[in-house]
Amino acid sequence: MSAAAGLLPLRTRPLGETQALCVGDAGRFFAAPPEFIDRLAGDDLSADDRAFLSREGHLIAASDELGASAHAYGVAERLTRAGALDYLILVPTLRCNLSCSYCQVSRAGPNQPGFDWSDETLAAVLDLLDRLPAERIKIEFQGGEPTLRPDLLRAIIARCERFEEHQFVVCTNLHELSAEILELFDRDDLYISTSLDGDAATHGRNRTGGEAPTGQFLGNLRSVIDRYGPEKLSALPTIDATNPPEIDALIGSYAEYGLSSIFLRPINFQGFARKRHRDSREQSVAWRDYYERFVRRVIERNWQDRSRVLEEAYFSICLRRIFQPGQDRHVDLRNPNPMGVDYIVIDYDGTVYPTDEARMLSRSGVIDLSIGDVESGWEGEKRELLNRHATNQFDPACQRCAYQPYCGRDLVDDIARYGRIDLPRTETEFCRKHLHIFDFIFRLIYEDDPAVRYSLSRWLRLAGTPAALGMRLT
Amino acid sequence: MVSLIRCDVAPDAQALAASAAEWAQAFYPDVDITREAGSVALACESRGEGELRLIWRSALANDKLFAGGAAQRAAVLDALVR
Repeated sequence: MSAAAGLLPLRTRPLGETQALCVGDAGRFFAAPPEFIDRLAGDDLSADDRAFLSREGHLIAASDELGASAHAYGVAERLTRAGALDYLILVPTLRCNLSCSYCQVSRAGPNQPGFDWSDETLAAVLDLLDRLPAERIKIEFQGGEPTLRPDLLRAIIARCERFEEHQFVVCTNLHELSAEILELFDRDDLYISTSLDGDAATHGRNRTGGEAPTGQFLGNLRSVIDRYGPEKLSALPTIDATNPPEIDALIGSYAEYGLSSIFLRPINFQGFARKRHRDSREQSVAWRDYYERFVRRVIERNWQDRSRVLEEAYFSICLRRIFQPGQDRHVDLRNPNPMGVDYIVIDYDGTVYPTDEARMLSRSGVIDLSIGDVESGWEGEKRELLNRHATNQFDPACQRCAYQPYCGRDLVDDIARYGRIDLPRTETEFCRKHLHIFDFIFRLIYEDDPAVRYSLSRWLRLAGTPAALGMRLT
Repeated sequence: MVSLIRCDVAPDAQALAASAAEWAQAFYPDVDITREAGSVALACESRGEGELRLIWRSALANDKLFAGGAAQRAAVLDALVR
């Protein structure tokens, strides 16, 4: 190693009592003993330390242009490169035939007039689709309950035939399942997203409100799974974090329908939930503990029955952000998180929002986060203003955080919870949640347990199970 | 039971320790961090002494690494933007 060799930027964070995690700006990481941290801080690295750091790409010679380029490439891989608009969340109607206690958009009643797209709005959305330069399109139909307007869904889907690739997701409560809806669902490029809060009693209490409508929903859920298979459908539970369901019962509710991915989602501090579930603003230590027990139980079940792999969806997303940058297009966790660029939300009245949460906040009357409308455009000053704050790269707390390369920025979440975006990062729920989840992931990565490695490898979509998932400096 | 550790701070490391203590407090709100003349004390109900000691060592290292790596980090980002 030349005398001019340079250490690339590193950040550290304890992993329990006997080792600390070290992470480079490109996201490469290793665990090291406390003595190494002292040597690192004291500029007193040993020859062995330097050899290890060099081998792992954390130390390069001043003359090593290839090494410097590799580092820059690694950093770039961690950054979102938002392309042309190719992902639309469409709200053809705000009407809904259910009234959930934590509805996030303050939905309209099933027969209320004035909450569907007008002919002019539909024409403007179709015109927008015609003008998109992208070769692929993904459309998510939200609501309200979008299946109340199958005619609008059909019109949009038909207009997307010109794209090389098209994918549609209908987010539905599956309360009604007519022949007309099933005909739409029969498309191979259409997926169904629904909510399943746990067993029948929990789902009924939170959403459907009685035995008969709950039975109707569960019957419809069974019917679509029998017709299409579980791959066609994804389901999310919304959890009251102050009273979460029994873990095995919740997993069982999903496993019963062949659903392998469970997105453990506490009530979002939006819409009706702001009044009816006030304590959903911050998650408690008890919730974090529940989350860890849930993931550990899933790991245990996966190891016991290797014919099926269950996962907690957000855990997998965060795990893949560590090992496979750029593989996922999860727009709620990315950095920078540009708004109104590669995806937008078009509401029932043609208003354009940068995210669905921005729509929820605006609907709740908290703050108007609309950035324009589908007829006159949205690439103006409001979008520009939001995008000045779309990165975690220059935040003083994030700059000192080992997880910055994996983490993201969600200023709409900050506005929703605190009404401002300038709170110190570490005082926000977004930061606390991600510190917890990344701490948990790295503890698991360095646990010497074949059952843990088995599940982590499956969630990373690896063909086999490596002997270790994390490098160690000993 | 509360775990408590006290770490000495050399006279020429006071500024570094002040910054490290501030950031450690932000990242670990459950740890009570107090600066005194020539030392820093960390106390916590849910973490052992070994972990508290490592939190402090990491905080010191992080602050030094942050200062040392800032120019390099900025240069890489600047080159990427260009």
